[in-house]
This record gives sequence, C-alpha cells and structure tokens, in this order.
Amino acid sequence: MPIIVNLDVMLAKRKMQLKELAEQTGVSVVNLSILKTGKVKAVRFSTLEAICQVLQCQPGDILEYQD
Amino acid sequence: MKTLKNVLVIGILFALVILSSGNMIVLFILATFNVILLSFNLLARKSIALKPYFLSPYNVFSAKYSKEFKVDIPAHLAFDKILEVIAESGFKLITQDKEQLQILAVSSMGFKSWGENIYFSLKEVNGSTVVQFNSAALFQIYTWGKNEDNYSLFFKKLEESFII
Repeated sequence: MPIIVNLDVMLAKRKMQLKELAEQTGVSVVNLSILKTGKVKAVRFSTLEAICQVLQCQPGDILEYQD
Repeated sequence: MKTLKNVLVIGILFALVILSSGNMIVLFILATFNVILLSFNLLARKSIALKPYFLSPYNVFSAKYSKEFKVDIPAHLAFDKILEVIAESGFKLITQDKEQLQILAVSSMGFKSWGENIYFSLKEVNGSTVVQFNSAALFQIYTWGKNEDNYSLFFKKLEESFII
C-alpha cells in the first residue's frame, strides 16, 4: 500500500513506548500495533488527533504517501 | 446432509416418545437422560479440554457451525484483537490460551437456545492468521440460526474494529 505509517519513527523520536502512547491516547495497544503495521482499514480523525496531541506532531509526520 | 441428520435425530426421538407412550418407566428414563446430559453439558461447557466433545460429529445433541477466515495480521495481534472483539460482541470470555492460540467464549442464553460455546483456534500462516471459528449449541439439535448469527455478529464487529 502506498500509505506508510511512521508511528514507530515518531515514537522513537519522542522516546516513547507504545504502551505509554496507548495509555495517553485511550487507544488500545493492539489497535496501535495494528496501525503501526499499516493493516488498519481506516483511521478516525479523533484517533489521529489524540495521537498528534500526545506526540506533538502533525498528521503528515505519521502518515506518508509513497508512489 | 446436515438437515437430513437433524430430521433423523428428531425422528428417532419422536419415535422413542411414541413407542414409550403409556410406558412411564421408558418416559422417565428418557427424561432423566435429557436432564443428566443437559447438566453435564452445562458443567462441561467451561472447559476448553472438552472442545472435541462439543464439536464431535457424533454429538448429535449439539448443533454446530464452523467457519474459517483469514486476518492480515500476525497471530499474537489477532489473538488480542479477537479478545477485544469478543467483549464488544456481547459474548463472555471463559478461557484463553495464548501459547496454544485457543479461545473459548460463550453466548448468553435466550429464548432460541441454551447458549452456545464459541471456540477460536488461530494459526499463523506467512505473517497472516487463519482463524477457525466454531459455534456449538449447548444442548439442542437445531439452533434457529443462532450459530450462524454468532458468526455474523462476531465477523461484523471484527471488521469494524479495523477502523480505529
């Protein structure tokens, strides 16, 4: 799929664990793990907002389009 | 084939009742057998070790439904995802074994059935997971579509859960 999820990169930059992000966003670890692997069907704006808020980043830092 | 089996079992039970009409001892034995079997099934349903008993084709008193599907995530993630979806589907988780990748849940009792045992067996194949879904009625030979409804409900919730 040409949409790449860079969540692991952002987590590494912020030196944050997935579990920590899950606790702060209210999204379960399993859902974040699936998001990280790019296997989700869709991402809600509310989820994206929560992740961006915690990681202090833009949606474009997490999602990337590669041709 | 399945319908033929159901018709045969119902026919045999009906014939037994007809033949025993007027014979109170035979009727008592039949009733006692039913009560004992139902009680045993109620006790046995919470053990995953008795999965072969409920899913056996020779267990004619337990209607079964089986379906296999694939999810495009590794088995350890699929396992946790299924546990999440079980809670959202209204089923009750009874036991889980992450090493063997086995899950047992039960559906609630209703006017259609005594409840069903729902078994999940997971197997990882090339990074994806093949899930074997089995729904077995506790003690009835026809579930009025309840086994199939359990699968539909679970699969719908699973699909929805991939929208995070």
